Amino acid sequence: MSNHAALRLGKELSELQKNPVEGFSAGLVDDSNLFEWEVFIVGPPDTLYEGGFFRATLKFTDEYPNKPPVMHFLTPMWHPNIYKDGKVCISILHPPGDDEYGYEKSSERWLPIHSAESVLISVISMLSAPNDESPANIDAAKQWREQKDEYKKKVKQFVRKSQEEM
Amino acid sequence: MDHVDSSSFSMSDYERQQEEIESETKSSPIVGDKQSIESLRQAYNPDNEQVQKKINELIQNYSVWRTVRGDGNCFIRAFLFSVCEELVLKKDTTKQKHFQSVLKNSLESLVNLGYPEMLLDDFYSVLDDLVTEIGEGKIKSVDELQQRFVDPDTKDAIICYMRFLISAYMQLNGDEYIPYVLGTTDHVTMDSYCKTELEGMYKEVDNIIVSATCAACGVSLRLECVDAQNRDSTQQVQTITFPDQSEPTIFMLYRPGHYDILYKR
Repeated sequence: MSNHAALRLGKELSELQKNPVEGFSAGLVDDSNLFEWEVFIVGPPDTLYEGGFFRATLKFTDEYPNKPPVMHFLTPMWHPNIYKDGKVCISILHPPGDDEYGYEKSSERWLPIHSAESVLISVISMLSAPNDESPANIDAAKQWREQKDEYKKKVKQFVRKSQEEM
Repeated sequence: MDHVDSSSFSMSDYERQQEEIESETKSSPIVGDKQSIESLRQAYNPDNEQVQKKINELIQNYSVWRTVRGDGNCFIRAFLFSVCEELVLKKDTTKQKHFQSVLKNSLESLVNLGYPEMLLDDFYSVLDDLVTEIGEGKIKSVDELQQRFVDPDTKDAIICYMRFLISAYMQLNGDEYIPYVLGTTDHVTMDSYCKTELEGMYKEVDNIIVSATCAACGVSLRLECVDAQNRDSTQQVQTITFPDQSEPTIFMLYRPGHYDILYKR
């Protein structure tokens, strides 16, 4: 087994704790395991998700950073690019060449110089700008396209629920 | 890939198939041992006369070959192994220092291009340490080098750094490469080409990248292409040298989609 992944994750985590990035915070689910992170994302201001507080996990394998982590929201989410079970599906979480998901060729893909930070920044921007090309939640995607008002209402409900859960 | 009925082929089927391919690949060594060139016959269909004729031709010039795992990193791994192997065997400090300065300059270029130094340094330092240890005589034999190439803490980091090194070179020499990129791919910028076709691990590389790798490292490579095609020439094995007309120091066998290392007689 490689130490490389663990060293790299330790470095990323301590860097994030020393110099926090606005919009999220990160820590370990269990202090003895660097491969499972718990993150809290603050709903970005001036978006539908404003005021929300969302809990998620990032799971890494010992092939990190050759291969991307997997991200799951634990807080229920309503979004075209988040599966109903919470799994996040955006291009940066897939390596180049993994074309089965229908992303555009130019979309940002996973590279070993990306990091937990770059994933979270992409996820935060995804919240306000869903990618219609590769929906994970087809109902949410359809609603976002065809019934924006209903979509907004539904997201607001989820945001309120996230506040109550806190 | 065979035609699949997309309605019955779910995402989990796709993922399962990927996993099967992966576990099959992982059963072959990352860098194999040297083998007699005769054993190459078994790697191809023994009944294919065309291919066997080409192997006869290869045997005239090469005595030994070495397999490299076909995980999409094979060209870069075969290239880097051959370069390091030459450093170990010839103990040529000028060449070793040159390669080390290529590494150092590429890191500076990458930082100037806006790549994150903190993350790149993890990969750079592993490769730089390896080349330093060769220079200091701490890696004394090719067997020891082979051990390092399969070591879990080394095997991927060094390939990853090579990908970024080649990327920096291609971006800085974009004028030279962009005509080929525009002509043979659907990318319109070097940046998108490098990010999509080169910088990701396990991504098979094309001829443009093969050529750039040799130029970036100042190494001359000869590829011997053995496929099932009949060539209209007395010489059946197609030979390509990078850079063109140069005197090669490393040699590889190319089969469509895969590279292995060859050793001259």
